[in-house]
Amino acid sequence: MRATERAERVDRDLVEQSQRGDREAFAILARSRGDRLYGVARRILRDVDLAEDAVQQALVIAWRELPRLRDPDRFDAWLQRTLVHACYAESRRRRLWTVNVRVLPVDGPAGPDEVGAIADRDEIESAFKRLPPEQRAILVLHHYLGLESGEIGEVLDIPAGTARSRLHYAHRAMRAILEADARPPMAAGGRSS
Amino acid sequence: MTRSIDVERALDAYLAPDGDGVPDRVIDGVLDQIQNTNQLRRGLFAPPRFTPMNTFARAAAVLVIAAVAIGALALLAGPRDGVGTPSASLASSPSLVPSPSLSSSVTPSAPPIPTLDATFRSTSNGFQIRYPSGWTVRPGVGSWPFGSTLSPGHPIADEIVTPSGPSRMRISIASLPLPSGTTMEEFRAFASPYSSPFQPDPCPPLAPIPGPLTIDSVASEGASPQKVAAVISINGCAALAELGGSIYDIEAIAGERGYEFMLDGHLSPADAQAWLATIRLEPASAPASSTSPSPSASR
Repeated sequence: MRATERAERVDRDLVEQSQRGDREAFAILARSRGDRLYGVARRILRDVDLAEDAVQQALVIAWRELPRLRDPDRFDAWLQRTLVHACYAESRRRRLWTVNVRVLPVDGPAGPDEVGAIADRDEIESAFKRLPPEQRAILVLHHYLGLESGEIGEVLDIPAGTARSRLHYAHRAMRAILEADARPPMAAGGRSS
Repeated sequence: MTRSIDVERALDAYLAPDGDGVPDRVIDGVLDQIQNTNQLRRGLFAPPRFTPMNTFARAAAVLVIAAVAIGALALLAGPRDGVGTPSASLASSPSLVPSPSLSSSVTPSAPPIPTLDATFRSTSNGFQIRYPSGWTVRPGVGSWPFGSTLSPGHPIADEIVTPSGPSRMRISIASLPLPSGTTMEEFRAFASPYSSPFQPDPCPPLAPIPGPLTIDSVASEGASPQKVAAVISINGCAALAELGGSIYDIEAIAGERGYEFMLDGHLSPADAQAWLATIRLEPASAPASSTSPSPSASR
């Protein structure tokens, strides 16, 4: 048995023990997944405190609902999904994303390659934070965890084609914001919500 | 080099792993919490057994399921009140998702909605709705970018709100043209990302709309060429925004136009239903692309 197979077997055993109420087994799982969960949450929420809350919330929910997980081998995808939902809840609760009041064209006219000139992390940060949380989540799953459409679909419980489409829209929205920011200021039509 | 590659590279760098670990207190906090947290029992559809059923048990189970199914069909096909008259609701629509919890709980502080004696018509968003005269009407500004998420009171949405007082209520309505063939799931994916298909409800509802839900009763009776599909995405969650109370999020699709109705504040499920029932969808009157709004209000 190879090392990876042994690790998977151990993980499966830990998941099954946790499903039967073994808190020690769940503690091992939580500690082994904690960094990865925190990395995802911090990137989706862009806030350390919110990310900590989301990770805690996700793990507690995972403990409570673990007996309902049908296939222990899908634990990681299921746990990521639980975390993404927790991030949505945190984001909605704090409403961080509602500060965007500008009307941003998703399909801007063809023009100079403004995005190609962007090297400022602050601009990317600013644009990313204005995306709705579900678009941030799909970008994090792709660019941070390196998941492709099929795996993203598994995490979000959606078809791979839908995941591909959402990833496309998220990239497009990000690009539109960056392009809009790169243009000279226009008259903004809106108010704070 | 294309823009797409640049954006992806920028995101690769921006979201790259940076070696930060979760603080110990986070995991310790979880482990403390689960000491007092019981696990849920295995779900109805999860396999409770790991040994195969014998033939007799399997046959008995099939018979029981068949009997239940036949009984349910008989109930559905049997005579009911109102047979022969068109339904005034969208309850029979396969796209209508009723509340997962049909509790009759009501927001305790919700006062009754005043008489809906005025009409707001939005040609920019393609609908009209009745509302209490004297309430504040704020037409939306700008168009709703496809793929983006709005929230109650968002400036893009038309907004009707109680002008003042401790128990305010509000409806925010926005719409956008959808690419031909856009499904409700695709629409909801960005219109209400906190709900299905990501999750059935983002919170324990406090005062859910029990259904049936009526939006544009004309369409539901079949007297209009419009075909309306509607879902309740967020059904009575606690609204933590400025108005407090509960929040309801309803999406509808009519005439290849996606509508979002966001109700929040101190209103009861019954009033939410009644208010939504005054909506008339007029997708043909809305622009296919963004133009400046031209709303009108009348008594």
